[in-house]
Amino acid sequence: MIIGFENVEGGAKINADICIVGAGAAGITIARALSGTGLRVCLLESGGLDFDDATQALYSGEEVGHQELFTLTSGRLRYFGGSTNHWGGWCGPLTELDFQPRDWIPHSGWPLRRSDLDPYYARAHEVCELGPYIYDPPKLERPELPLPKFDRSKLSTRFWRYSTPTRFGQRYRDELKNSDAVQVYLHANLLELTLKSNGNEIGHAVIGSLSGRRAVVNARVFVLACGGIENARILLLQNHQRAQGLGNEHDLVGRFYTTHPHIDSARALPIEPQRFADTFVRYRTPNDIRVQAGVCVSDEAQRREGILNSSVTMEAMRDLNTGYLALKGIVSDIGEGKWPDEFMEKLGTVINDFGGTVNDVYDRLTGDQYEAPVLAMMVFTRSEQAPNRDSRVFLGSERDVFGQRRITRDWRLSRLDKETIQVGHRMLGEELGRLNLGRLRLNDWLVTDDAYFPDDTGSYGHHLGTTRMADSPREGVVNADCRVHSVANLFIAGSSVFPTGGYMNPTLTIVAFALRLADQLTKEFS
Amino acid sequence: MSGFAAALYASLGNAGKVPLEADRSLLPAQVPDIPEILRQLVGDPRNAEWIGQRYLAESRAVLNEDTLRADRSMRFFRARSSASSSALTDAFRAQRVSDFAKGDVILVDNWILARCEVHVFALLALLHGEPVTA
Repeated sequence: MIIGFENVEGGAKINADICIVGAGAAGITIARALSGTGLRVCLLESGGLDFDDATQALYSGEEVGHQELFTLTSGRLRYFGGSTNHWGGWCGPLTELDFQPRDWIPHSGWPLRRSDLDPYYARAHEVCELGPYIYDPPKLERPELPLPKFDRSKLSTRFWRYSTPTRFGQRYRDELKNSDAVQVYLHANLLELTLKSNGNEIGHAVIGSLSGRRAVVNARVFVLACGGIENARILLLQNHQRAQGLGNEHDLVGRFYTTHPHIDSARALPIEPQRFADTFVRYRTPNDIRVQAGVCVSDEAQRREGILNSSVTMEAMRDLNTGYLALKGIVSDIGEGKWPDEFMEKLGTVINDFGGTVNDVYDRLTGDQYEAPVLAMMVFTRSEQAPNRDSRVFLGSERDVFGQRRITRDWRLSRLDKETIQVGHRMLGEELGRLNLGRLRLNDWLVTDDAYFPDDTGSYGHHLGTTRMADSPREGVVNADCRVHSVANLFIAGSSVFPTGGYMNPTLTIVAFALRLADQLTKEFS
Repeated sequence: MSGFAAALYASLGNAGKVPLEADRSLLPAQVPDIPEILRQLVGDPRNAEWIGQRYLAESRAVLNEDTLRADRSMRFFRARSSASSSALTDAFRAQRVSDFAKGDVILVDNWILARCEVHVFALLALLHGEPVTA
């Protein structure tokens, strides 16, 4: 059932077994998984079914660290479906090494193994509409375009899988609407979590709408599923009963804020440009699996070089100054009844490329699709960021319309973050040369021995680590079950629990952990 | 494509793909014409020289023909300078693979290049004697 909180009687008391805060990928997945278990679920969503400026503005805050390409309001979405309303659908599991403690990376290591999560990754594939859980290159690569045989002590190839992308709010809306067990409340903002008198359990939540309506939610269990930044903010805001906020006895909430630095990092000049571009382009396998190959540093290289995990994908850069395109521009302008722009220049291009133009026109007339020639490949980095206690989000001095302090983001990138990308690119350049596939040119920013990253470095909304997972409360906010160490009935879902993030896009792992948490809640509370 | 990239692409062309069997007659067996041999190792000698000049300009070390030829990455050249064109090309290719595999690379204009290929480019630039512009 989906209910507009605006229509609920003021001062109402909502009762549920499980109260989930946030209806994004994690929250919706948990709610769906709990439906039919006998548990009554209340799913709170701050926004409505569609985007609205006033709700989105609740996300605004201050930036004091490295300037992010995506601001606090543009990198995430606050309405039903959350940031799946704008995600690109890139998916893949973290590697086994990503989960392991790495003695060369301080604060690395999860309190569980990749194999613990594998069954949930397979189920997450269904949720994200990805098809079978397959990532082995031999099963996905095309025989006619085999992937390069890189030296495995340096590099390996890896596939990304692509969701359609599933917009969770649209895709699962009717299912939740028709569920008797799940009640979705729209425009319901969490304002307060109140501890019971025993001091280690949440008793109830106070929720409110932008129009001023208030209500109380009583539940046995509370799950925060509001994203990698907002989860931390909510815990920090609960400082009325514990001065440092909930789960923050060891000053960890909001700290270790990491992302996946995304940045244009190099140009590859292939010996056979078109073939190289075809190898690394996104494509569909014969059984309709959407994939794209990328290149990552091998586990062995990470250990040997003392670096983080890192990867690149490559996109073709095409020659847009061909005779065919110039002729097309001339014809298009004439078709619109105007004198062609830059006519003489375009005519010169057609004349200089006359043979190619004739061939391309013939190809179009015979039905072939035109593709401008590939000149080079843009190399785009997708890297891991080292856990860094000083990289953090914290409560700022500004307040939102509810009077609650907004977030301040202090994103810090380190020398190791950059060195990882430098070493990875050096090995990529060496391997492209060794295999005589081409040569690699580093972008200027990547040549300097410092921690400098350009301003267009972006996280692409991958906000990780602010309520990190660890066995010890001195090392993490939640345990391996995603339960807040110091609050028995409070759980966290989403990428904020990732102690490290590899380089892989986080949504599949978020959904896998959400399914795992739902299983655990069912087992413990139903 | 930038001037340097175009030059690099042109320079790598032949050495990357095509053995130079057709040019065997250009190589006197006993008295090798060193500049000519070097030219046959690259796709486009003029562009290779240009890259070589960039390297010489960027390099802080004192580089001349003797120091370049004495470099260990040029062993293929010393050992094979009187051999056939294709044998020399093969040896150069093997050295280049070895350089890349061992990480013996040099950054020129931010391009990651094998030491031996950069030194061939640089030797060409030194032996040509005239500044070459792209």
